[in-house]
Amino acid sequence: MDHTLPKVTGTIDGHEFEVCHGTTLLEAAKTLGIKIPTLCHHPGLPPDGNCRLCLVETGDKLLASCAFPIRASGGVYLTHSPLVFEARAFVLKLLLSRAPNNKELLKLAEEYGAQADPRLSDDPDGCLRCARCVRACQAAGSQAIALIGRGRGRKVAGPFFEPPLDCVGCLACARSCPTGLIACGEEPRVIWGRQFDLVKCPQCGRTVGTPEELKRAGITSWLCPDCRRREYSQALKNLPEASFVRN
Amino acid sequence: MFLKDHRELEALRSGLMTGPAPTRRLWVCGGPGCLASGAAQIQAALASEIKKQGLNSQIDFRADLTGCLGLCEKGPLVGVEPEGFLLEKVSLADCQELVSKTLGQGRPIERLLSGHQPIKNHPFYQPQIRQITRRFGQINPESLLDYLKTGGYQALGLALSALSPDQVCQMVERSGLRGRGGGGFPAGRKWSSCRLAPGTVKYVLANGDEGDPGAFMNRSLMEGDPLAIIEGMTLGAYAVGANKGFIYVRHEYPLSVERLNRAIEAAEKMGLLGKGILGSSFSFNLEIVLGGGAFVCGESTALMASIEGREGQPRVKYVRSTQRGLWEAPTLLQNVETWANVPLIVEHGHEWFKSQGTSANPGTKVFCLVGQVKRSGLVEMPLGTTIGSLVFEVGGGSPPGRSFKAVQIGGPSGGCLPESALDLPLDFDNLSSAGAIMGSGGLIVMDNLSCMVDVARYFTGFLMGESCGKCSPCREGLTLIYRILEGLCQGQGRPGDTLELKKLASLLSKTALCGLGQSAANPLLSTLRYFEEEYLEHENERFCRSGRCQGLFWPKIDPDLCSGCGLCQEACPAKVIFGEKKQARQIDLANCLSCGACLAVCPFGAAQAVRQDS
Amino acid sequence: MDSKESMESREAKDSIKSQVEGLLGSRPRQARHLLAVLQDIQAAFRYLPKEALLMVSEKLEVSAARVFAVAGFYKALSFSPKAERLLTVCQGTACHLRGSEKLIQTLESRLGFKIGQSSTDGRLGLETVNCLGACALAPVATVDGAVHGHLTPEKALDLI
Repeated sequence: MDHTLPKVTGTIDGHEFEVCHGTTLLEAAKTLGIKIPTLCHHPGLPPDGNCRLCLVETGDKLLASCAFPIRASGGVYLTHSPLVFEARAFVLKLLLSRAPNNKELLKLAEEYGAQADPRLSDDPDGCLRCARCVRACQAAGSQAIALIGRGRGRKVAGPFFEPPLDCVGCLACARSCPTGLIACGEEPRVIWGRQFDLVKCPQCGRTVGTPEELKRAGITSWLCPDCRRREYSQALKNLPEASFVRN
Repeated sequence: MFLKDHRELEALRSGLMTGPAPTRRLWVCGGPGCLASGAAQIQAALASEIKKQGLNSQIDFRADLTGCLGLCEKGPLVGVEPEGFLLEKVSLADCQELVSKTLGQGRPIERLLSGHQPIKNHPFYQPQIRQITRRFGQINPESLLDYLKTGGYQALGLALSALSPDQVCQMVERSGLRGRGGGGFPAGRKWSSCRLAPGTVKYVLANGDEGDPGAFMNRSLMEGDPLAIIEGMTLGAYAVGANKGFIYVRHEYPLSVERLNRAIEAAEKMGLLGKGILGSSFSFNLEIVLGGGAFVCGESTALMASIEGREGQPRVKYVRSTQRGLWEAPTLLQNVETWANVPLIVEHGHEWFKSQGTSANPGTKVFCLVGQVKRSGLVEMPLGTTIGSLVFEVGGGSPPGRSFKAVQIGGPSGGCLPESALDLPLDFDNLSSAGAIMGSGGLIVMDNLSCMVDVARYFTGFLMGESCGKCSPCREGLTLIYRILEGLCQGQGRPGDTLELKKLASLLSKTALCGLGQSAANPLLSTLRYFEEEYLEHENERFCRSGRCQGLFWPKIDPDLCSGCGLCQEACPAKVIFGEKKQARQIDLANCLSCGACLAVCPFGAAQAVRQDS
Repeated sequence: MDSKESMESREAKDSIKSQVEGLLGSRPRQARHLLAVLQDIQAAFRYLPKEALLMVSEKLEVSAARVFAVAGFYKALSFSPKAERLLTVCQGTACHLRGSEKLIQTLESRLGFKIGQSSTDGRLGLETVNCLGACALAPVATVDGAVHGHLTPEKALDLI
């Protein structure tokens, strides 16, 4: 957090908060210990605000708290008002139609009294279209997969619906998926219909990653992080005393 | 010719204006409707006829395509200058006579004359104030000289020689101009915000991605007066400090793209675009970007994403695009019609601009009046005109045998207003409190054969097909709503559907991510608000009173109203209508498809829809 | 036989490549021109060949996934060849009120394929458009760009 930024204040569910200018509403709520349910949000990824589960009421409007930056003081936000409750139940009902067996979703649905509508039961492929996988891939430095198409037919896929050639097998997408839908294997490394070689640390034999992944990260040594650290400190130890004398 | 400063511009203009006045010109309407009925071929035939008859030695005799003359119903239209005749339904066979008699001798062709001459007395034109569309029928839109001759670039000349950017900004702010593309956001607020936003790189954008079905005012403007948009954008760029602009045009409008490109090229050649415009230090370049066929790109953040070469997906907008827009730079985005207002304001001043319209909604607005109305076409009226005067005075009301039911305003995100709203002034605020929006200005008139549940299904289906699929309420919720509406229209409604729809519509509008999703429920909400009984009839009685939803009614012919014309008999695909000539027709319901074809063709309102159990 | 076929397909691929090379040359090689380049390719081939998309990805330095996503988003672009002749029915509101759905039903049942599809020989395709702006002539359809107004199901069948 940048402490040079000015502070802004306001209330969430009647509790006063003070955070840095630009802090998201979701983070501000967290400082008060107020929990807001989220699905598309991931702390390591840029906010997208697409699932609409984290909606919070202010005035007579609803805001996506994961993406809303607080830039003015005096805001009054409600995270558990009747409108918020109704809106989340609506969102959950819609998402349930896509992932009717997902445990986390079912738990939330129970909490909010949401039920799937049979009229939307035709394509329960388990994917929430939250784009966490796509954003994770991008954040990791690749753009191997994307959301293809539009409307209800939108799907996560590689180019030409084929195994993506730009994939480095880092599994960032699978690890960020809230429904655990992306089929993958750690060892042997398999994902998106492709199999990857694995680099083993020449010293301890641990798996370091795929060669493509290391190349993307610009890592030339194939040592695992622990062994690399050990080797580095060893090298320091072996340096002649004079190297440490300050001029 | 390259204009070095505004004095050279004015010298050129006065030269053009004092030159030999054209004795007579034929203006072939180049609006979308007339082009569709062969206007371009007529213009070509007229031009070659002029050559053939030896009139081309006198350069004053010309037949050019011009902007939309408005009365699309009667196209192809030809206007005659200076007499002001309007000739209707002109065909290729008329061209020879048109040139020899009308162009050569100034006499109209009686059989083509509309009933009201001169044309300004025509009930379609009489109530109109043609301000934005003033050059339609006055200039060849491909001619920069025609544009200059009719006052074009006077505003830019004035601004660059005598006004500071801040002054231009203030003029727009004081004029009270509101954005013509949707909700009517005050243009001046956007301009000032963009002007004051920190940053050395800024952009101005024009939204010409007119995607509303039943709307062609932006197209008419881009094709009828492209330089007005370009001049407006140049003024905007000067005011906010931008050097680069983009016009985003729907790819289905190839002629708009061509005209705008030609206009840009012509302006560049004259030094009215490019480096050091009119000898000033101000530079501005303009580029056309072609849309890819996605309605959502009319939404500002999606439009910018598309210009950046990405999918047209809206993003969560908690920072205004005047602060962070295209490529994260401060960006001023306005609809093409808004831009076309700007030269008028700068040239005539904000007080003049406010003399039209109402105090909170100054100026005029271009509307497309279409649907079940006698005279459809392109109309320009001051803001604040009542809906009734547009539908009944200009449009002439519903077709024979039908009665007015509703008017749908503002495109797929707009709403349907009932008869009780006919006295409502057409302005941004009144429309939104009545549950519709101005949108870009499409008015679709509906009559007693238009089913409001079907209309809601139609618009929801349209938006479902255009939803980008990013946020869950729009992606999944619109589909759910569509399926419920489809069920109602097919007689498969379930108890409680109407109530459920109300709930879903209200939640969708509150939870969706972008403007498209938030307004997607408007057609549904407004029809539920004003025509709930039709929903309940579909749900509880499986009855469609409009005779639109197949299987939910029986047609019945009222013998007192039937003239025995036999049109219904001809139209019936099942051949179950029978009767003697000049006698009231009867229907054999045993084999009737309940398709409504008879209702649609009856000009006397004799064919009616009744409940199937009655 | 096999080698002959692969020769042919290689030749076809080479010809696509040289054409795309030409198209790419007419625009600045910047990511922002991605949509415009794809539209050029669509206009030239009536669809987006896979080889062409891969070339675009390489030359504009845009990931293949993004090229594919943009190509899949816009209606003006397609992955399979569009028919030689297109019959496009306007689905604007005015056309809807005046019975465009009945036109579509009639055309679909008579032609034996749906909106968005083509005849098996690839000669005729059926599409819809949101609005052509010729609302006064509703319902309207175009055949290869020429507009036909005031259509009835019978008149629409005459168009084909």
